[in-house]
Amino acid sequence: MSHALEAHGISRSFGGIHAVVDVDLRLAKGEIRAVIGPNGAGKTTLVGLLAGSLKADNGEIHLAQRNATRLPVHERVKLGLGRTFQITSLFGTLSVFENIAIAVQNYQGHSFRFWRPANRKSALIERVQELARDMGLEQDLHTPAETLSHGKHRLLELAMALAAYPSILLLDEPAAGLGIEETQNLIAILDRLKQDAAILLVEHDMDVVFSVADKVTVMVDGAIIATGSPDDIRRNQRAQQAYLGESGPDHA
Amino acid sequence: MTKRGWWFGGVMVLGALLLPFWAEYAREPFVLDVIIRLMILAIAASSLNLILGYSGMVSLGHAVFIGIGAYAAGIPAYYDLNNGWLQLAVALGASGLFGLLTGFICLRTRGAYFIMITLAFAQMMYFIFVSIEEYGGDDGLVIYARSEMGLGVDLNDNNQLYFLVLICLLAVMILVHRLTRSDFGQVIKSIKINEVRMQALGYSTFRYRLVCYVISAMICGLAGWLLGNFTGFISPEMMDWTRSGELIAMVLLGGAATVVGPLLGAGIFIGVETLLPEVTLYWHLYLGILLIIVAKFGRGGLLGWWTQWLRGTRS
Repeated sequence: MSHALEAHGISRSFGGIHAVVDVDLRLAKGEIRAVIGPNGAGKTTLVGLLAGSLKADNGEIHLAQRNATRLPVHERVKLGLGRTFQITSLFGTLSVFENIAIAVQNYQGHSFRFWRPANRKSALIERVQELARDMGLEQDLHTPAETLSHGKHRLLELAMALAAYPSILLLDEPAAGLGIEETQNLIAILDRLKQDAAILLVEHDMDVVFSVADKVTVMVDGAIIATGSPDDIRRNQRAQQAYLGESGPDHA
Repeated sequence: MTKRGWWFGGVMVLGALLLPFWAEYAREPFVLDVIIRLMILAIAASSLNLILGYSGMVSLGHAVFIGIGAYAAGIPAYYDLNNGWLQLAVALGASGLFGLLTGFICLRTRGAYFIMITLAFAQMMYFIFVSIEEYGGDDGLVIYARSEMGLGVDLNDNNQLYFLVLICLLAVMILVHRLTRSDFGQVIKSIKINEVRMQALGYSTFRYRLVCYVISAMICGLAGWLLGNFTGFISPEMMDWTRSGELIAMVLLGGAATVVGPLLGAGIFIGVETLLPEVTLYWHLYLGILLIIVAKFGRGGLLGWWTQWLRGTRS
């Protein structure tokens, strides 16, 4: 079976700290893989390595069957990768429309156009409106991004990551800080997205993890200690000790 | 731009068109010289504004492109090559090429390192021209004849040079206006706000910043070519780092990341430089104080204050 994302033995240290140790991952289209683990387990470093914002010390990364180990961030996007950030990363002073538009603009062609005003092309406007509608942001298109609520920031992050129809999605704690209703909305969106993409989901909210994930990977101290179906992980002794034991799935 | 803004712009352009006739009538040719210099510096400041204001990169070596543009007029003239179009092509080509080569290295750095490396390249060029004895070295080079443009234009007539500079300034301001609102402009403005996110969206941010840097370099080269023609005397001093510092001051005084800001800043600078020495020997001190006030209180420069004040009076 061909995988959208493959990582073979990737490692990364910062000084003496081994943030990610010899990690193997395989993700296929249609799969949501949750990565869980205590704080400092290396989950965000792993996302950085896969996205290319961090370079791996060892190992190989393949995206869409291409060796992407040495490709910079923007080249990996061309292979179908999209990501959101753990700490919301937007263009605060620009409007919601402009935030989504700058994401769509790159997908719809190069941006070496110097004369005609931006954001007037109907294909671009339609796509921006479609993405905003999908995320429930259509009322906020002309609001500066920085004045949105936290929940809407997370949705805007996602809208921008989806602009290029990614086939591989790396989502770093998309549910962090969301209210109950927003979380339910996110779960529905993720379910819909996985038809077209392989999704790697770093998440602390166990409700989200256990309701959308097809497989769960548990990381501790930079290494994977268990991978399995949500039910397997619930029963897994080591995973329990490392993580779930502290704050079980029911009261996360 | 507001309706009031367009009216104001229209009146300014009309005034600029009528100025030479007034200067002749009032026998004040010196005024024309001052305004020509002002407009040339405004072109240079506008070019710096593209990278400083819109892209957020502080270059402390931008005057090097003024020097390159000026020598592109001076060196051919030294060999009696007075064709203006040829000189202009050399000015744009050389400044663009120097921008491309140095930008390729400079743009890999950020913040203080970018400031230092742009300064280093500019000083390198400065000392290269100081050491070329053939072109006057330290003493500079006199241009005996202004560029020949053909088409019945004679730049030795100060009025005609004035109109050429005015056309160039308007063209540059329109270019900056269009450029910064285009697809490309959206990209460079967004890179300034959040470069990491732009990369994650698939933009090769380095390429966009490099193109922006080269465009900026070429516009500044144009200013240098005009300045060389205007002063008739060029020297390495034109690309000294203090000149670059003055350009930064103009951009910040007037209002960074605005089309009109650099023109306003150049106007203030020239105004201070022309008027204050008549009152006091220590005019640099007062310019410094003005800069401190703007840096402390006026984030958008004087133009920012003005628009805030307008907004305040309306609401």
